[in-house]
Amino acid sequence: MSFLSSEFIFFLGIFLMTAIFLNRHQLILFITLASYLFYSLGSLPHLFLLLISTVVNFYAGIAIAASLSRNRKKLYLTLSLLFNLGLLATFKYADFLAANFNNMFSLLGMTYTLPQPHILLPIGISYFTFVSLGYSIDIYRGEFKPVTNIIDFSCFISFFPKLVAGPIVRAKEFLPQLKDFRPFNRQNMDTGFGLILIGFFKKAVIADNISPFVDKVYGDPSQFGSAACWLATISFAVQLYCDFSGYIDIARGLSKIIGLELPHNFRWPYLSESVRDFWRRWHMTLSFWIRDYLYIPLGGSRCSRPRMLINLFITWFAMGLWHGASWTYVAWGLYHGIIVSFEHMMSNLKFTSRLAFIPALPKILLTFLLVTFGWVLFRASDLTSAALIFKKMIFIGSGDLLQGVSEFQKLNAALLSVSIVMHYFAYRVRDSNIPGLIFTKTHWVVRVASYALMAAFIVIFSGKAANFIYFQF
Amino acid sequence: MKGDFVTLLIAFVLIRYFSVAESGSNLINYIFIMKTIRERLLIFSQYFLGFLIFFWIISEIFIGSDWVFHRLDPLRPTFIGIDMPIQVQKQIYHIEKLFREPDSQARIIFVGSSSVVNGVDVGRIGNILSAESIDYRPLNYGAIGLYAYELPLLKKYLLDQRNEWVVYLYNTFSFGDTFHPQAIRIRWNTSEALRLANHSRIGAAEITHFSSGIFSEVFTLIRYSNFYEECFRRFISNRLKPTPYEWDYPAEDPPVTIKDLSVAQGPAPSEDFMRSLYLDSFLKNETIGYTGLRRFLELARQAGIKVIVAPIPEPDMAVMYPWKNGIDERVIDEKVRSIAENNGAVFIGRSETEYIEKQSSNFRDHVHANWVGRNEYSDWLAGRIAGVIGK
Repeated sequence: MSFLSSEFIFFLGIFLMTAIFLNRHQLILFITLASYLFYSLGSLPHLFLLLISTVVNFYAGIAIAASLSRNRKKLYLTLSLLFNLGLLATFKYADFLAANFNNMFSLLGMTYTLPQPHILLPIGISYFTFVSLGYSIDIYRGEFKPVTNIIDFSCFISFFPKLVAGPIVRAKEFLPQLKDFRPFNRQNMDTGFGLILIGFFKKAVIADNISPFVDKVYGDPSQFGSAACWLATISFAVQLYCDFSGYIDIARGLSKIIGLELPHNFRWPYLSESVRDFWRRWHMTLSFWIRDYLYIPLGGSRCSRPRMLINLFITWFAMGLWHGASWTYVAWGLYHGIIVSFEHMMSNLKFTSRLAFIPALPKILLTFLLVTFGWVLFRASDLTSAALIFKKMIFIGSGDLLQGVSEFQKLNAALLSVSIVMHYFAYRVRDSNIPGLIFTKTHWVVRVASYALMAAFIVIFSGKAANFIYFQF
Repeated sequence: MKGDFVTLLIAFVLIRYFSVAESGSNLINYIFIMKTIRERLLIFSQYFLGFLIFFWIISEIFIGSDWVFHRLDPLRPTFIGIDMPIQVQKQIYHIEKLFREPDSQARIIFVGSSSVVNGVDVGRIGNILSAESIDYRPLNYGAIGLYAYELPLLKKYLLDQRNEWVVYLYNTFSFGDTFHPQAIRIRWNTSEALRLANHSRIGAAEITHFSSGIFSEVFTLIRYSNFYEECFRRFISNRLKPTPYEWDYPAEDPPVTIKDLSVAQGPAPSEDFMRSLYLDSFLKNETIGYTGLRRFLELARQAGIKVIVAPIPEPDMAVMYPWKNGIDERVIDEKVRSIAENNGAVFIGRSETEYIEKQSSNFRDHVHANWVGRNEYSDWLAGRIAGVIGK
């Protein structure tokens, strides 16, 4: 079920009206049941998968913690890893693996072909398996004690605001909150409402209105010139950010209303001064997860340079593959891996420190350019199409520069400008208490009326509703 | 006595439930919980009910006001060059504007699909009726893809007490057995839709239909959101101009005779949306379309509004199209005649307009009349209605 659907508004209304009358224990159970209902309305058969995953990981956590010997702990952790990665391999990567094995067989002249099972991808599988994996690893490392109440654990795994597209919450961030949380707190209501409306604005007004132009260019890039390809790629950079961060804002807002805190996932990523910096600000919960549970265990950067490069290669390969079972995502991951490796090596040179005088703006623009270039791989339907767009973007004079550029309308330009201003403004006020002042200095009637006004604006100016991009991961 | 006991028992169970639910089971705990619930209810009502009230005020008092309706309706865009949701919304917006007009003159309403939008000239009909000393205000309530099941859903407009006659002009696809996915947000009435949809068919798709239908039924802003956006876009780009003609196609649109119609095409697959509508109307005796017509006639009878049911002319050549291929319209006409006559409506058969249907030059495609066909049909319709009313 999408946050943008009318069913969800009904679901939320009934959920909140019931939540009023429940105490903390009842509410945890109710959130869990509501989350299962939320998930089953999207895909009922996959609910069983979620339930099985929850039960297995709950008992795996207990088993790891209860084991006295290191080897037994490792055994249970391995079983948990095998189970979770097996789920991903089966439900997300089976077709991809079979297709690639078949290609390999045919290259080797073998006639054998593996059947492709064509399993429907369970929504949010990448998220709930990573959440579960993180939980097991934290217990193995002794960083977190397992929960003994399966309802609390189920609530942690299936909490509906973050179930299908994150953020990837860690047990130590979420589970302690269940011991003492208060729904319908006035301060949280204002923050929650504000976040939800900002999220809807980003998604419905900006991302959904930008997407038709992007879809058109990426649907058939041969019909467009260099200018349209550049504009479409920049538009996609904005669309993806507004789509995903919009979803996260809504998720965080809903969670706030319920009285629970979800972690930030974005911190003005397009104002990053390097690609490494970008990954500390973009989809933060995933990049920190990959860093803590993959890159550092592999040895991180505290090893020889060749080893570090191999670690980076593996990490970025995994990062790309996490996003989807396609070579375009792998290529996108490796593209970032190469840039990050380059930045790593440059940062160790004395020469780099002499470049500190360069102001922030050129660095921000260069980083944006590099990241945007990478989005071509992320958005293109296949590598051939990506190569064509790259060609058009790089060899500007090779064809009709302005072919199809008229598709980029004034509205697209206005939306891009609005998003840039919003992004910058949000960055400027990040440490100020302006939102807090607005909430405390105004009467609740004024605040609620302004929320209604903003909602009316969103209803009128929302684009054709498309599903959240990160739902597919 | 027994009732008091039951009340006390329920109260006890509730108190016990709330007090045991938190740690401890004493009265202080219970009072604390009730205080918490009271606070939550207060905050909930402020934020959620308050939000809904303000949203309703914006939607109905400002954007949905008569003042806005009367100024925006003449500026609605023409069919060509706009998306389908805007087209559907602007038509109902126009109908709602006509409905809101404060005149007290008796009305005669023509309702049906885009064949009615393009095939009925109410100005021409009005003149003919006036000449016959019949003082009615004819209004065209046609809307693209309007099916028979939607008649009771539009009862607010169709069964207004100023409407003395409603003329329903159906197509051979009007009695399908599915909700129109593009019309749900715009042409909806939840209670009537629930009556039409039997319980066995309420699945995931119906949940989506009903939940989106309810919001659009309650809020004008949601019902016409795409139309408002289009008007705003046209306003800022200085394209918000009075609509030059009432129908979908320009008045000077020349008669079209499509050459490839001389070659018969095979039927479209039954899962094709349009094809399934024709097939349902033709093959099934009970569909939401037929049930909807029956229900509408029943409501009209209760409201004292007289109804005429007739087929809108469709060109003979339409059977060459994949959607209508193999459909015997006489079978559909017979089912409709039976429903109409059993429910007190006047039924006018197809035989009277055969001469229009035979001339392909009266049409621009397989369902829409061009201006030649419109004039011819409107003249016939006016004369025929004058005859019925005169009785």
